[in-house]
Amino acid sequence: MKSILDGQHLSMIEYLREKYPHLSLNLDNLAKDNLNVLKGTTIIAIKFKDGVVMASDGQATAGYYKVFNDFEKLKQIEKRTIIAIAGSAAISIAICDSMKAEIKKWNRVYSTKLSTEGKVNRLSRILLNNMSLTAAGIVMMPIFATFEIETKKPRIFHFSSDGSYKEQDYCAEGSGGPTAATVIAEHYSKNLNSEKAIEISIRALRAAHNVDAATGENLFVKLIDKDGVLEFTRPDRINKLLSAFNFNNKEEK
Amino acid sequence: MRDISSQIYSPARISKRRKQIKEILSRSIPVAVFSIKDGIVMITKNKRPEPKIFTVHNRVAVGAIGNYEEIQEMRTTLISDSLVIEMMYSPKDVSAEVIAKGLSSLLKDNFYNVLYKPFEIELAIAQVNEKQEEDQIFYVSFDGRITESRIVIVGSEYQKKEENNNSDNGEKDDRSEILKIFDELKSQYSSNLSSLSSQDVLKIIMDMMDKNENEIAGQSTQSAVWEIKLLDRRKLGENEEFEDILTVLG
Repeated sequence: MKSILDGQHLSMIEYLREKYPHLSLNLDNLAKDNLNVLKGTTIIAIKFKDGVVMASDGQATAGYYKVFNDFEKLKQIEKRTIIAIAGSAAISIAICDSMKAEIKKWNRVYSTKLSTEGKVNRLSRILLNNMSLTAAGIVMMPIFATFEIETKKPRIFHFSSDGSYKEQDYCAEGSGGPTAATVIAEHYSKNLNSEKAIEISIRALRAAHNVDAATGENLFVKLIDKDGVLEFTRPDRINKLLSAFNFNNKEEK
Repeated sequence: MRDISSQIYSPARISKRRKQIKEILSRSIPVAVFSIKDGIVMITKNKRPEPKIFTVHNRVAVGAIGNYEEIQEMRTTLISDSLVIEMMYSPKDVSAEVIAKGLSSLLKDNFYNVLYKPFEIELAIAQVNEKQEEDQIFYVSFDGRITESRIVIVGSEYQKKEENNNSDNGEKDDRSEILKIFDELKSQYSSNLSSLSSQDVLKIIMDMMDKNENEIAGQSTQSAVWEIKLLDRRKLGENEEFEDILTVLG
């Protein structure tokens, strides 16, 4: 008997595999041992009173080589949802694109919004299906942050590379993650305002940059609230932020 | 890749098919699609809750007539496949032209292959752009014929047979009423409609409705509801990926 999901093709990955096999990803034949893939590093998410602040550094490395200095790791996949990616860049971008397409498809076909739990579970399942690549060192460790417009609540989900996740008030991931998390824990309190949250995230990223070789100097900051996503990615605005919080190198010296 | 079964062709069956599908399409209410200053207006009347006019991709919307179940199935397919193009290439590469050409080959293959069931639907595919001159509106017929023009009225060419006009009076009234309005729209379009704003166009359409209702003197049934939507040019921009720009007018 056919199942009710047969004609629906909810998963874009399965849809590609079935209908357009020549377009779908085929990672089976990769030499999995000596891959020096592009990797991103420190990402941060902090909840504040009415939104989420997300920040990342801009460095992408392959082995000991810094490939990019301004590589953005905050991927907007919906109006009020961002996935921050740490780990292997290519697989992370592919997974973000597929998540974006699946959410858009659900919203358009059924004319209802996919729930936050639905998105999170789906991402978890994609990561779990990706275990063979994870074991070979092609890892994705995302942070999923969203502002739920129905309940007016910001939410942050911290994923591990095998797909398990937990909802948290703040989290940091990547090679500079532990350092950044320590700094956030020191300054974090409930009922932060947005300026304070941005300041903490910049402080944490600076600390991570100081001790971690793979965390770069350039910063990307995004803020999610009820109006959508506000970007602070342009260098002039970031510099303004830095000088406002006395974090410019020159001023420190 | 095309298998050998698509080469099977029977002229007698095909002409019979053509007749049957035209008969089915002549019973459904047409969709008018035209470009104005604020975007692209899509108008029809709908007997069922499922929309006949729907978003396919960020800037692309479709208005369809014919078999409802097939319209809904086609909607899912179009949404999925335009997302596949978006994933494989980029959102900018999903255009009305790409979708219309793919759709044309799909409809044509099913129509001329006597082993398949042909689609009993016809569609208008509209894409709104920053400038009005760049707007694209395609009309794809049930056998895969594509025409592009500034104003498209899907299904207006199929005339209903006059013999059984007593059996389904309500449907016929809806259809003839809307056809009259669309004819008027078409004649006015090139002279003044194209440069007007959406509110003015809505007012003109309302006036036409009132006039027609007076002529028919309250005979028209309430079974079908107006479905008037606008692909809003003013909403194009940074957030077009995440917000539906097809809005309900009036």
